[in-house]
Amino acid sequence: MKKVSEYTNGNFIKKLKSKNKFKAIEELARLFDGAQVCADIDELVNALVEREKIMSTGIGFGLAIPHAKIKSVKDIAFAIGISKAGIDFDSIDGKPVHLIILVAAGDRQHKDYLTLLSRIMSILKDETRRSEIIHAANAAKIIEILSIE
Amino acid sequence: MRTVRSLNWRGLAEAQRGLLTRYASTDISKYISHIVFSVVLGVFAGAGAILFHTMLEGTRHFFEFFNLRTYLGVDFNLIFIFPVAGAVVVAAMTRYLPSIARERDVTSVIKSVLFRNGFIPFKVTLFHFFAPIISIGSGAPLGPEGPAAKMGSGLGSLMAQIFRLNQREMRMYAVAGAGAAIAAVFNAPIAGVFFGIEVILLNDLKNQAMSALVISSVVADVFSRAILGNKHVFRIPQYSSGDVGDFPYFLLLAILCGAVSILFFQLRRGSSFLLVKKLRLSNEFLRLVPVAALFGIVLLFFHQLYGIGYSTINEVLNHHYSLVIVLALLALKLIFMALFLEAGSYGGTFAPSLMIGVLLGHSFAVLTNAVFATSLDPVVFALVGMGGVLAGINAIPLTSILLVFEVTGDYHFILPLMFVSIIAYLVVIYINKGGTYTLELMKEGIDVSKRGEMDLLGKIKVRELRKTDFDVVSHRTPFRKLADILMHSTYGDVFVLNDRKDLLGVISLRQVRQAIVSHELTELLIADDVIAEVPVVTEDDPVSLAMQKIEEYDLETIPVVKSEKNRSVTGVLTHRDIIQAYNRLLDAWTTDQFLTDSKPRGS
Repeated sequence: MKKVSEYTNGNFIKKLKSKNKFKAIEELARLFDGAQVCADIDELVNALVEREKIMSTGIGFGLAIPHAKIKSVKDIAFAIGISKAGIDFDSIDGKPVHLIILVAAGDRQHKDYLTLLSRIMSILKDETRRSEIIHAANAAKIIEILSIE
Repeated sequence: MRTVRSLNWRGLAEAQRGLLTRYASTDISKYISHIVFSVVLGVFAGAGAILFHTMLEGTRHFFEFFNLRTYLGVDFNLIFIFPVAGAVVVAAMTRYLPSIARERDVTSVIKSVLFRNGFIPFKVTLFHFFAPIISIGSGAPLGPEGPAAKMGSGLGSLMAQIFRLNQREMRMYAVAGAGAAIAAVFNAPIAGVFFGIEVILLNDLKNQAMSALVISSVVADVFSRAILGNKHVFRIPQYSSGDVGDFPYFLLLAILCGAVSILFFQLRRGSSFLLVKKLRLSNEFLRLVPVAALFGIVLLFFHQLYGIGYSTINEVLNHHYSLVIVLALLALKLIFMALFLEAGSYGGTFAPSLMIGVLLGHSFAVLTNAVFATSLDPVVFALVGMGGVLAGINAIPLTSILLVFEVTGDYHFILPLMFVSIIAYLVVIYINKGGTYTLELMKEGIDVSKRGEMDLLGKIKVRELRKTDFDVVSHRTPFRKLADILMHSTYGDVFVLNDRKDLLGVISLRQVRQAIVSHELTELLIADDVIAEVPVVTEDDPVSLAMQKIEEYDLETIPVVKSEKNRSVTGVLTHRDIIQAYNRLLDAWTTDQFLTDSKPRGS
């Protein structure tokens, strides 16, 4: 089984400039541009935004996991966005989000999609790991943290 | 005193009526009646077969070359007149009774069982009793089994009509009668049963007619043996059953049997083309009489082709003929069998297949021995060839094995017989893409293949089976609530609707079990995240389409929507309900179910 850290790479990790959750989602989704992950980034952004409008993916503890499963995604992957200032995500606990994990999957990758979400959740429920990622010096350090499951 | 006596009689009559009513309503009465009717049918079919056999043998004996001079003082050279005379009578019968004459061969029995609940008018039975006797008795190189089966099923049908039995029972005894007649004609009860299963019931082993088929076949054969004696048709000389090293040669023989069967089908097609398309012979006399005349002339040189050919089989088995004669007989038998059938004569293909098999197997062994200096026994190859060609031409491997085994009464060659019969059958099935009877029925637009079974479901609409106790959720439903609904859902899945109440997809318990078990996801997911694409059907679609989609997507249920454009859900169709409906339809087995849409119904 692939490690969780293998579903992302240094190019998919970014310190976010956006202050708005929808803009933050788009900023993060655009990291997949030209990376053979998704053939239609606009479709992905649209799906993520629509999903976010139905119910917030901000699950509290400063963490949000926007996700979408669409046809134009070739291979399941995730991007990581860090916002030191925090973004209002309408989270369950009402607190701003500092760490965003954006998951994109193909429409037929149902099982892998749920498995990856579940594994990400189990890593990030640990407050120390969340804090280490948010305060990591660089992308390589974040991937190193994620590689420990 | 008088009053008391009167009361007693009335009481007794009432008691009798009561007992009869109670007896008639019990299960045991049904079983006993079933056995009694099967026995009665066995006796009638056996008697019919004996009469058929006796009249056929009598006619054949009368026309036999060596007896003609004795009885009629006719010169041997005038022998060709008799097939012609027979052809004239048979053509006249066909011309003046066309609707009855049309109900020829075994496929007509299959059709009567499929479409008319086994109803066969007695005049049809009578016609097809006498027509083959005249036809085969005057020399036509055909067999008695098709007409015998027709007569047997006709008697079964007649018995059901006389005793006013219901449609299911009439169908059952029509099948049993066919098997019983075959059992009596060939002295082969097991083959009779398997003939009923493979040919008339089209391999339906679970059919209700099975017990009647077995009982009637046994009784018919016992009756036939009691009257005609317990002798075997063929005189088999001493032979060596061969060893393992002979099996490659048996394989070659099997392929040859298959090839010869295919050649026979080609010859039939060719004969049909010649008589109907090329020569445009629509008149019954013009079609059959010239064929019979030509055959009569050939008989002057090859009298062995006369009639059923059992005596020729015995002579070949006992090495009476040279290789050249055997090969010539093989070619001529194939040609005239095809010509007579297409020209409108009456008779079956079982007995001719046996003769062709013997001629083929015998010549194969003799030729192989001459060319490769082997020591194959022509007798065993001839016997095995019987099964191969019988299985190939008629697409009945099990009946072939058992028939050859029973008519020879010899077990020693059973292994090569089984091997060759099944390989020859497979060769024919591979090339023709179907069995003889299946393809014959297909020509009339009657599909009894697997597609036909699916079409059984095509006769009912989705609306007739749909249920309305399905579960739906909004695509906004949080996962925790969704899991709860799924756990209590009727079918283990829920349909997901958008805000306009249109169907977006389905979520099944199986699909999200992982998410339910790992509690981390319950706060993150909503129904929209775990939707799976699902095929839909509309209320007017045939159930066969629903079944096709269910199998393709490996589903337990399929949503029913208003139309292709309006995706609001009106019901659900379950795999289980479709299977139950299918079984009900099979039980009903009514007229229209096996008809394809492309062609008109078989009569």
